[in-house]
Amino acid sequence: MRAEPTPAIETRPLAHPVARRRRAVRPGELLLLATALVSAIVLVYPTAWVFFASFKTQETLFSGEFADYTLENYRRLFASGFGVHIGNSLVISLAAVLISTFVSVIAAYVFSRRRFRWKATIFGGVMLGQTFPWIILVTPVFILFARLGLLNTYLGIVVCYVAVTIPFSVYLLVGYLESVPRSLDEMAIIDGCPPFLVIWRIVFPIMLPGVVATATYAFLLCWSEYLFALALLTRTEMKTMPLVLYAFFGEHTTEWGQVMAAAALTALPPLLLFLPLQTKLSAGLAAGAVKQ
Amino acid sequence: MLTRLARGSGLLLLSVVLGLALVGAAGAVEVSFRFNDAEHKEIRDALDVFQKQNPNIKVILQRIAWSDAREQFLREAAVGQGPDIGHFGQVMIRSMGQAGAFLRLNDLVRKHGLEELWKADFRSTDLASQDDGTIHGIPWTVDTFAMVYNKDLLRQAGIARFPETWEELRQASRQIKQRTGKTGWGFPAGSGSTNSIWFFCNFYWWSHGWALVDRAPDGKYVMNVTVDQIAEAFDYYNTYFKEGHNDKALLAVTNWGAQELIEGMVQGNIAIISTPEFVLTQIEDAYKARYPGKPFPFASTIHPRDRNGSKTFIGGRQLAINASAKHPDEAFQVIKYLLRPEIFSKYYTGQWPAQKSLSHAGYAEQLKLARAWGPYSTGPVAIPIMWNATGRAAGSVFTGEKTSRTAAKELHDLIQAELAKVK
Amino acid sequence: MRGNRAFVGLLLLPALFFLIVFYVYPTVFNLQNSLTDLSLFGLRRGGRWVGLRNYVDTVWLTLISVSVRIVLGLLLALLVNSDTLRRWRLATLFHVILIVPWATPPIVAVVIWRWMLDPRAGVVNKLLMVSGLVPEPVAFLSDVTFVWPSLITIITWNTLPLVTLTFLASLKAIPSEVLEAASVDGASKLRSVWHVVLPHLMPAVVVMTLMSTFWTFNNFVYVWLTTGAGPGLYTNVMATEVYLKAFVDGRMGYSSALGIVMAAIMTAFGLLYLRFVVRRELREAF
Repeated sequence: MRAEPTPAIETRPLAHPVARRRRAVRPGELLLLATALVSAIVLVYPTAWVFFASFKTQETLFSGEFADYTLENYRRLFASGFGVHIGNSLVISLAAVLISTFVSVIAAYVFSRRRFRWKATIFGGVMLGQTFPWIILVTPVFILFARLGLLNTYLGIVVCYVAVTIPFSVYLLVGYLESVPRSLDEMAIIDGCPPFLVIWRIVFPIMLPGVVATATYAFLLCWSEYLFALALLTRTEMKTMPLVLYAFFGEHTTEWGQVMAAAALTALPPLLLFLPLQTKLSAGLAAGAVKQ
Repeated sequence: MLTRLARGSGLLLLSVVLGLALVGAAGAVEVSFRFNDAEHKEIRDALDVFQKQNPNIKVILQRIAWSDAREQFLREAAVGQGPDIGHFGQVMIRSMGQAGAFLRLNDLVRKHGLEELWKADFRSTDLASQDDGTIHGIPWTVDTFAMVYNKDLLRQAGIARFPETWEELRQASRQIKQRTGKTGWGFPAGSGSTNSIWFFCNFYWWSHGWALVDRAPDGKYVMNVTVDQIAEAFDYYNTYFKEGHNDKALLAVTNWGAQELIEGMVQGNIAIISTPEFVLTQIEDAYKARYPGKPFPFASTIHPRDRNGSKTFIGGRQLAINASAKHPDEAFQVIKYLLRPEIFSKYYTGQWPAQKSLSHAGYAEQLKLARAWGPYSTGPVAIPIMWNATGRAAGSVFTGEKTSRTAAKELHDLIQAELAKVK
Repeated sequence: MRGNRAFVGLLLLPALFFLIVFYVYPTVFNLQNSLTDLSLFGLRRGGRWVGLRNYVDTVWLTLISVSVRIVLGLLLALLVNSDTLRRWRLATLFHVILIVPWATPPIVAVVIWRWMLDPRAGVVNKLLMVSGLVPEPVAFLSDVTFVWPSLITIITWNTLPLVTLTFLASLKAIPSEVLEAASVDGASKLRSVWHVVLPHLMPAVVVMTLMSTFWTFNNFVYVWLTTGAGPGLYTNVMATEVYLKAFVDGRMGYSSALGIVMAAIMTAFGLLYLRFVVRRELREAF
C-alpha cells in the first residue's frame, strides 16, 4: 500500500451503480434512517442544548420553558472578567500548539527518514509518553516548576502542554510521513539541498494536511486540559477557561445561566476550528493512526 | 579636582536617593489575597477603599474553588509560592499551620494592637492557634447551621410547632411528604470530600453526647462513639431516603448551599433544610426577585435535641498569612482592615463577623448552642480525613452498597487506627 | 541513509528535552517519594493498603467503556458508510455531526451531562417519565445501579466520534474492487461485512482499542468532575484514588506508590502497543 502516492485526502464515495438506480424506500432502509436520526440527535443535542440554555434566564432554565431569551448571562459573565480567561486559553493553546507541532515535525522527520543508533528505543520511549498517567505527574511537575519560577506563567503551562502533546503528535506525523514517498526528499538531498531545507521546502508542504490534523488535535487537548492548569495556574488573571468554568459549576451554583454561557464559550472555538476542517481531520488522523 | 569629585559623588548620591524615593512612591507594595467566596466584586470595592487610604499598598485579588483551596495552598506554600493572604475554613487552619504553610502571627497581632481583641472578642481562637500558643489564623467570620423551614408547607401538613427531637423531625418529614407531596427535610447526602452529611452526622452524635474524637480526662484523644452509635446516625438519615421523604436527587448533592436546595426552597418543593445563614439570605434574595411583594414563608430555628441538647458547630472563615509572604506587615494591615464592621455591613454581607461585638441576631440562638470542633481539631486525626471518610461511609449506606454496620465499622476502625499511631 | 549524528541529535533534542523534563524527572521523583511516605500534613502516617478495589473498578470501567466504544463505533461507521445514507446524501452531514461531541471539551461534556441526568431538571428523566418507563425520576449519578452506566455514557458520548471517524476513514480506504469481488462471489451483505470489511478494519480496531484503553485508564477528569469518586467510594478508580490520597488525605508516599503501579500497568500496555501497532505501521522506518 505504501506505493500509493497520496493518502485518501479526498473522501471519495465508493461507486455504487446499483444503489443509485433504486428510488423506493424499503423497510430496511427506513430502519437505518430512523437509527441514523436517533444517533444524530443523541450526538448533537447535548452540545446544542448548552448553547440554547446559555440564552435562558435563571427561572426558565429551571422550569424548562423555552420562552424568554436573554443576553444577560453573557453580559454578566464578561462583566465578571471572563474575557481575560478566553485570552489566556487562546494564547496558551496557540503557543503550545505552534511549538509542539514544530518540534514534532522535525522529530517525526528524523524518525521516519534517518537511521541512527538507539532509534527504536528512543522512538519507543516517546511513544510511551502517550500511555503515561498524567495524574502522577502533577505534584513533581508542580515542585519543579515552582523551583524554576514557572508557576503562573504562560511559559510554564506552555512547556507543560508541549510535553503533553508531543508523543501523540509525533505518532500521527510519523504515520503520515510514512505515506509520503521517500523518493521526493531523497531526490532533493541528492540534488544538494541542505537537509533542514528539505523538511520545510519539500516534506512540510506535502504533509500539510497531516500537520493541520495533528495541530488541531493538539489544540483540542490543550484547550480542554484541566488537571495541570489547576495545579500550575492559581492566579485568577492567569486561569484558563476550563478552570473558571468548573469553579463556577462547583461553587457558585446560584449562577447557572453564567455556567451555561461559560460552557458555550468554552465549546465554541474547538467547534469553529473542527467543523470546517472535518474532512482533512479524519483523513489526517486516519493516515497516521490507521495504515492499510 | 577633589571637590569636583566630591560634588559629583554628592550629586550621584542625591540622584540615587531621589530615584529610590520615586521608585518607592510609584511602586506600591503588592499584597495578594486569595478570596474564595462569591462576594468578589464587593471585596474588590472594599479593597479599593483600602488602597485609597493606604496608597503604599496594592492588593491583588485572586480566587480558587473552595474544593481546591486547601491542597493548592499547601502545595504552593511547600515551595515558597502562593498568595500572601489566604482565605480558609475555620477547621483548615491548624493542620495547615502544622504543615508549615502559615506565618506565625503573634508578633503582628501584638504590634497592631489586636491582642486585647484577640483575647476578649474573637470566637474560634482555638481553631486559629496551636497548642503552644502560636497564632496561625485570624478568625474572620463565623456561622453555623440552623434549620430553615417553610411555614406554609408545615402548616399544610398539619405541623403546628417545629419538631424538637430527631424522631419528631423524621415524623414531620414523613407527614409533609404524605400530606403535601413535597420533600420533607431535604438534606444533601452526596459523598464528595467536602460533603454536608459529615455535619449532620456530627450534629446527631453530639446531641447524644457522642463524638468521633474526644479528649479523655488523662489528656489522651479517644473515640467516644461505638460502631453501633455511628451506624445509628447512618440509619437515621438513611430512612429519609428509604421512606421517600427526602429527594433521591440529593444523594448526588454534596454542598449545603447547592442550587437544588435553594431552588427547592424558593419554589416550595422542599419544606425543611439545614444550612448556614448566608444560604438563607440567598434563598430570601431569590424569593424576593421571583415573587416581589410576597411575604417570606421562611423561618429558622435550632436543630433537634437529645440528652446533650441541640448541638451544631462554630464554622466560618479565617484569614492567614503565607509562611513565605514577602510583605507580612502590609498583609496584616489588609487583614486588620478586613475585620472592620463596615466590611460585613457593606461588602461581605453573606457572613457574620467572628467578633462577638459585631454579630447580629438571626442564627443567634443556634450559635449559642454551637460547640467548637475542639478535640476534632486539636487531636491527631486531621479533620479533612474524617470528613471525607464519613461522607464516603454514609454514602455507601444510602446507596445500599454496604450495610450501616459495615460502613460504621470501617469508619470506626479507620479513626481508631489513626489515633493508635500517636503514642 | 547517512547517519548524520549531529543533524539527528539537533532535530530530536527539542522533543527529548520536553519529554525528559516532563516525564522522566517526575517519575524518578515519584519513585523516591513512594519509598519515603512524605505527607502533606507533615505528620507521618503509615500506608494502609486498601486492597484491590480500585484496580478492579478501573479495569472494569476501562474494559466496558472501551468495548462499548469500539462496537458502537463500528456500527455507526457502517451506518454512515451504508448505501442508504449515501443515497440520501446524509453521509457528509454525519461527518459534521460526529465532529460536535468530539470537539466538545470533556469539562463541558461533564457539565452538560450532569444537567441532562439531573433527577429534577434533567431532560433524560423528563423523557423517561413522559414515556412512562419509570414511575419516578432516577438519580443517575447517586444510584449504584446507574452510576457506572452513566459515567460510561458520558465517556462514550465524548469519545465515540474519534473512534467512528477513524473507522470511517479506514472503510473508505477499502478498494472498491475488493467489495465488488465479494458481491460477484455472491456473498450476502452481512457475510461480506464479516469476511471482507471487518478484516480490513482490524488494524484500526486494534489501534483504537489500545488508545482508548490508555485514555480511559489514565483519565481523571470524567470521574472526578462527574461523581467525585462517589457515591461512597463506589466509582473510585485508580486516578481518583491517587488524587484523593495525595490531596485529601495528605499521604503523598502512598499516593506515589499507587501512581507507580498505575504507570507500570500502563507501560506494560504501552509495550503491547509498540509491538503491535507502532512497529507494524512504521515498518519502513525501522
